[in-house]
Amino acid sequence: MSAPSLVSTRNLEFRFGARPVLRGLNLDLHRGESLAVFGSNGAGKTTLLRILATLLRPTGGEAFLDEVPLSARAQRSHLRRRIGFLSHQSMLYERLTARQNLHFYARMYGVDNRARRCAELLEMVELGGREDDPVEEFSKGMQQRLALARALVHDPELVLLDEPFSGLDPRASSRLGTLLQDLPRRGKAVLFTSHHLEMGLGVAHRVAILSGGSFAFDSPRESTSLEGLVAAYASLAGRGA
Amino acid sequence: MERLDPMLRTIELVLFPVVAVLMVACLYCIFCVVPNEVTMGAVQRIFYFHVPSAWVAFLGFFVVFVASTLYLTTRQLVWDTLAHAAAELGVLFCAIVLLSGPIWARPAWGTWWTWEARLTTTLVLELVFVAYLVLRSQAESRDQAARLAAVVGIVGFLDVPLIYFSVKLWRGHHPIVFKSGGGEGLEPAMLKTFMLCMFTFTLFFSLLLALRFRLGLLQEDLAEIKDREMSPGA
Amino acid sequence: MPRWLAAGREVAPLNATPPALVICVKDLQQELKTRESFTAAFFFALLVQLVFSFAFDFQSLGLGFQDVGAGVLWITLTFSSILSLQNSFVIEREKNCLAALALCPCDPSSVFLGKFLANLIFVLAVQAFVLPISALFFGYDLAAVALPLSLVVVVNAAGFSALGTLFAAISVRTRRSELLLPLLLFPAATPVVIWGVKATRLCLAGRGLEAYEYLVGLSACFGAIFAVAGVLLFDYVLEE
Repeated sequence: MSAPSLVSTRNLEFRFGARPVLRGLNLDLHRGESLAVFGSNGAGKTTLLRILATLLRPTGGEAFLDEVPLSARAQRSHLRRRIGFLSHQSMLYERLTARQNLHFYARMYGVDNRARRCAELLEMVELGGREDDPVEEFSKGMQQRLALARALVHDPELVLLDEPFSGLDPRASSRLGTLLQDLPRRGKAVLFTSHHLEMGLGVAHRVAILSGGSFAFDSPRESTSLEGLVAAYASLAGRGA
Repeated sequence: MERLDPMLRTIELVLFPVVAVLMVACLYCIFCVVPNEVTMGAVQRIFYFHVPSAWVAFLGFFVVFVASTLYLTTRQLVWDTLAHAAAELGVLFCAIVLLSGPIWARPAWGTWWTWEARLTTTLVLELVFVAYLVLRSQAESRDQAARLAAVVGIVGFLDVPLIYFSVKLWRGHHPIVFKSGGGEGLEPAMLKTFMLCMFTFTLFFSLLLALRFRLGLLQEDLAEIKDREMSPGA
Repeated sequence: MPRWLAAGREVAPLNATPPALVICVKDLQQELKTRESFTAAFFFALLVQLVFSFAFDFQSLGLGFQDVGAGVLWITLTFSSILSLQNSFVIEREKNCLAALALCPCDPSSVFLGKFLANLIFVLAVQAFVLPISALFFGYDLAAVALPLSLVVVVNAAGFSALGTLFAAISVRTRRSELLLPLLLFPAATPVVIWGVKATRLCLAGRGLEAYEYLVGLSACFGAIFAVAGVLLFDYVLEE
């Protein structure tokens, strides 16, 4: 590969007790590239994201952001400033308004020019006009878009999203999909997990299937047909965890 | 873990007969050698078990503190297993203190329970470390149990002197138990028996700790085997 | 090198608000909006006083507030604080904001300090309303001792909240957090309760500050010890 990848893992391993979740997983993702990761429940998708988000430490191997190991303690906050993470829970304070939520996280990340950044993001996720409503009054799709804005508040280079489409109706999904397609154009590396093969294939540059603790299938979108992906998924995802 | 197991077995094999003999010797000394205490009479003899129990309970909590610190710095689960074992023994010996105290207090002071400083401290510590054990049982995963329990183990131990000091300020007077006759200090036989009991209890505690530690390691092996069978791909 | 040393080397930008303050302000914002912690703790405090006066029939026993006030105050404070301590981390757990806090580039100790500060403010706010009411209930002239009594309450509440914040963060991670927190906190907080009661009793009896300043000092030490413990250990609590 020519340009160095923004995020990479070498022989990443994770055990939950004695149960191996990830076994020798290798991954490379460049700036401006997006990757959709599929896999059955318990295949380790969330674990992978949580490791890349520095929320979990791998039990073996190492993950790098721009060649800096994620385990480097002294670099921790520097690394964290460059990573945005959208978990399958919104990480929003439901009683606070959309604006208060964004401002809170912007302050926590030490974002300059907070008011402008937050207004920009709210505009981007199409929540302009609703910024002073409490989050608990938002629909699931709106919450998810606000959660995305939250994950992007510090303008991270690596964006990790865990099941961003789950629980969204088709319209909300396609709005979110458009946003996700836009991120690589802004130079971000995007990695998201999904159960929705078609949606994932439509949004990402690359698709991969996590099976048996590592990527059993990894292919660029251009050379992958939906039928091929479905067939590969059916044959791989059933096998072990 | 492979090296620990034989080591613990050896400790158990050596300590078991030693503790057995010493324990009999202790009982002999307590009932047949030492003289009756002048003011309190025969019931005072319970202190040959009461005080050593308190000592090993504190020793147990100290082991929890050290093992917890080591766990947080090294992240080796064996340290957590050791901390767990020590905490259980600490709670056990605290319970012995709390049971033997009233047995003595009833005839000596005419009351089962007294809010006396050391007894109260023991009760509070017992509660702190029972909470520690409850926390372990309520955690969501093994690692989490280890991490959170280690924090409580450290905080709990830091709390020991504070609790003792505060309770003492609140309520004083612990009986001076080992005093015979005219105030010239401890009767030699009493002192020797007391020291023997302290020594025996320390070894007894070590033996139990080795047993409980090894049991904990075996439990972990078992969990690992079960886990492996549950996930066929492994 | 210990992790807390390595993590401590991070330097925040000079112009930024300290993260601890940001978290504290966020908690206050949320509380002002819902008032759920305050309302729950306040009414619980009143209920405790009610049960207290039923349990010990002060009027017929001829007891005054200076006799029982210290006990009433500390039972009320500790029991009602449990509610707000618990809630302070339950709101973080609801949508997994705890993980978001763990991922913020600040030192984990800032999260502890921010939550501690907010909790202390909640406890004191509740007391500011409860104390005058209990003085009314038990017919006592509070104004005479208001200043020294506030000192005792603030210092001891700080100690209780420091340990309480650490333990609440621990218990919220477990399956039965609401059962665990009182179990962990009450025995471990014994010293600060004992010193608090003793100091309050001397204070209500109209004794000068010099009669109990050593107790206030001891409680301050307790608070300092566990605030430092919280700062050093919170990283391990916050970790997933």
